[in-house]
Amino acid sequence: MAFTFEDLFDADFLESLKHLRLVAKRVPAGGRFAEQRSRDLGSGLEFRDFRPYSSGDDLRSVDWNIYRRLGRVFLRLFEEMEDLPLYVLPDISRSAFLEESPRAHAGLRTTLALASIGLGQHDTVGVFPFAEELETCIRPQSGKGRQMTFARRLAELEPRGATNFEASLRRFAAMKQRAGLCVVVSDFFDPRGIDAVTTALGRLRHRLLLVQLTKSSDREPKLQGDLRLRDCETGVVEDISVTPAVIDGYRKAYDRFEEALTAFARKRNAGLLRLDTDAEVVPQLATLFENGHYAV
Amino acid sequence: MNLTLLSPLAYFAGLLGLAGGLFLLQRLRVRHREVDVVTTMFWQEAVHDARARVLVDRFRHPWAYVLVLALAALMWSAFAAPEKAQVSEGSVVFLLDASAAAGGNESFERAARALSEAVQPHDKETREVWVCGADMRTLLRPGEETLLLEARLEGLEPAATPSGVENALELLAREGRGPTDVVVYTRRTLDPERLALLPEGLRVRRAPALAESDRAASGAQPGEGVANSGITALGIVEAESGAWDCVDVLLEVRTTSSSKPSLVLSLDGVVVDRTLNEDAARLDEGVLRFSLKDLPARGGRLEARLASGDASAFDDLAAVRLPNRSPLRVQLSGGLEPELRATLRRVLERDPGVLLVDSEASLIIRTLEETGNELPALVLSSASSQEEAFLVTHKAERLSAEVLGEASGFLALSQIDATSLAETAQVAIRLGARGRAEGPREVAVWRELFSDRFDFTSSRAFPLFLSGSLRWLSEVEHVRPFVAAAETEIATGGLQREGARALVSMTGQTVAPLAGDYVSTEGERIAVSLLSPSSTRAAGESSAATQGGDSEEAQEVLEASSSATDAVTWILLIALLGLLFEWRQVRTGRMP
Repeated sequence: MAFTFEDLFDADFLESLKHLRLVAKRVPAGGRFAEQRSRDLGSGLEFRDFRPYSSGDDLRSVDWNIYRRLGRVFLRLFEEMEDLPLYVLPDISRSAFLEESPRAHAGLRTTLALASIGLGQHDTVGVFPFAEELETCIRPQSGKGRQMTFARRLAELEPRGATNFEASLRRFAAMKQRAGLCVVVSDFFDPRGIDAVTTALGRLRHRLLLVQLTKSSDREPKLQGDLRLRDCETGVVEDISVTPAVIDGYRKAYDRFEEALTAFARKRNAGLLRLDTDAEVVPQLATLFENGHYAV
Repeated sequence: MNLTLLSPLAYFAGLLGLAGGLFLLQRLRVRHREVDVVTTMFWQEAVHDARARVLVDRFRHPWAYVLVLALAALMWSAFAAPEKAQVSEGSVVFLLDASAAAGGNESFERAARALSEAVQPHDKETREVWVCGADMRTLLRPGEETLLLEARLEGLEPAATPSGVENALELLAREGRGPTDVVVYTRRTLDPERLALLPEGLRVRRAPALAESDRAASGAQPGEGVANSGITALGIVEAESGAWDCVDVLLEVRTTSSSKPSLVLSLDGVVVDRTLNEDAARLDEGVLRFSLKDLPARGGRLEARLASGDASAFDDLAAVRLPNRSPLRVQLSGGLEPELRATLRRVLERDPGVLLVDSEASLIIRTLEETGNELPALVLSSASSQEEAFLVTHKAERLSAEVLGEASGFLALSQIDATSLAETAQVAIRLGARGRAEGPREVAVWRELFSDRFDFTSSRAFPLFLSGSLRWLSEVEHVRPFVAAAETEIATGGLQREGARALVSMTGQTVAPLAGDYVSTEGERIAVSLLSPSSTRAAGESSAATQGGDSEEAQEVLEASSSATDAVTWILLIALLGLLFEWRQVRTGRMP
């Protein structure tokens, strides 16, 4: 295993998840992401519309008041109040486990934290880790008491190969999961570039929450001298001499990456949380529920 | 700071070479440090536009270059072996005693090594090295590199001559220098009386460790000296017995040994088979005196030798030339009155140094009228023919005043009752001398003094007068009692020793600098001996016998040299710290 259970989900962290769930619960009904107005018209509690009776319709839905007044048979339609399936896609590519303080550590904690919130709100939560391919770690399931099961399963994850958003998300889309909230927990460093990432994300029909696993050194690298950089996923070697001009070019390239990701989230009306993997995860996740609503 | 291994030009040339070489290496150096990163895509974008084709990469990492150059410069400086120059007030003169007082060769070599080491730390502009031995000269002048000293010390040996340290100090004093520290490398005690006359600015100190090292080398216990015996006197005098053809020999030996040294006398290589009279032997005081009476004086070289193997061999040998006292062949001329002839014969036959002959004479006693004889002569003149009663005719190159002084002696005039003679002769009795370019010596005396009117012939002075006159006429070789090296003045125009340069006298007097056998310009063979009690004593002196001449200020000179900072050690320490710093910088990626 890349991490031990105790290292990944220590007692302090698990305790902090309780607080996170409380924070999430304070969000009024209209803002909880477990509440989503389903487009399905069914026999839910809130009246929405009438439609003419068709053969085979449930007679219990007939609005007899209208029949008495108009002599015609209409069905009363109600909104279907359904739970919001939560699909968490943690990045378990090789790069997530590389550094001294691996991003995967924060990523898996984030996954459990979000899963805990969903489970606590009786949502269906599924975990689908990805790297060069998507895997099914935990099939969508609900139940408050399943948190530890989730934790154990997450702690057993091992690093995979290189990152491939296109292949991974294509597979996820092919699963035809019920529309829900898709949370992608990743650094979004795909060798094919940010355009490939955003294109693959754009194909998903789910609502999106992007949790970007970042480090301060992403924009401000602390490398100096003549270096031979080796991409830990692809093995590509790049000889560079770190000079002020090169640093400046690096920053610009990174800024373009960030701008592209932000523009996509804005365009797609997706949530984007930049998580500092060197800081505590739970306080940063709590910001999602600031101002009493979940803002995506 | 002095650089002992490199000249300043070589040092700075080396620095420039290092700087240039490192500069080239800096431009050529490409050292990639491998780093695994989560992604290279940003770096690829960054370097894509910055990468340009260049033939030679531009100079980068100037601070790294400066650090490496500083380390290389430190290493180069350490190689140059700098030494902190001793800053002392005034100059420093190192004086090496290369006389017989320096002891044997090993002792002298130790002194030379100690001196060479002591010179190193001092500023070369204010230090110099002298040596006083066979001659006094400068081994290292101010401004000269120390390396030259080692070359000049190579092959330098002590000489059989008394120590000239005090002479050198007096010469330094006469030069009128400013404050000068003098460090003397000698084993003998300096003369405190002569040192007391030196000016205050001249601070004299003996190298203290010299005696200690000598004692350690000899294996002597602390407080003990190194045993040495030496001949401190060898001379000859007229035989006390009166024998004209003999001399008495006097010897003195000084020793620090508890046992009597073995002494052998030889004459022209043949051992003198006679027992020496031991006069007032004082072995407990280390002084032994011997004598040998009535040694025949037939010329030859008399040599005294001690058994070798002690601290110094210079004083184990002494020699002196014996005079050649063959009998004088004297002829009485036929013009002498029979009575006078008989008187003369009677006196002369009693003189063992005279042989009366009728032919092949070397001297003649004649009348003034008997001319045509070229032999040196005692001439019987008359009061009418010469004003002086005694007239000495000598070679023109001598001064008559000198001859007059001699004549007073050999004519035994002090024994002559000149007053009585004058009263009898009714005229003053005078002594005269004249020089003559050609012709033999003469002593002319009034024949009237030989008559019965005067009691000259019956006086005690007469035989003395005769023998003295005859000996002066024959230029009998006077006893030269002894000749001590560097002390005894010899009346000569010059001296020549085999294998050495001739010594030319400008004043008619000269001194032989070393013990050995010489020939004067007049053809006289002269044996010169060391005969130096101070040298013999110095060779056997213990370290406890330090006396006089040490000034506390000069002591500081030696102490300062021994505590001189080792600059090389400090340089290497700094370089090591620099290397550690560079290693850490490279390891942490702060330096390429």
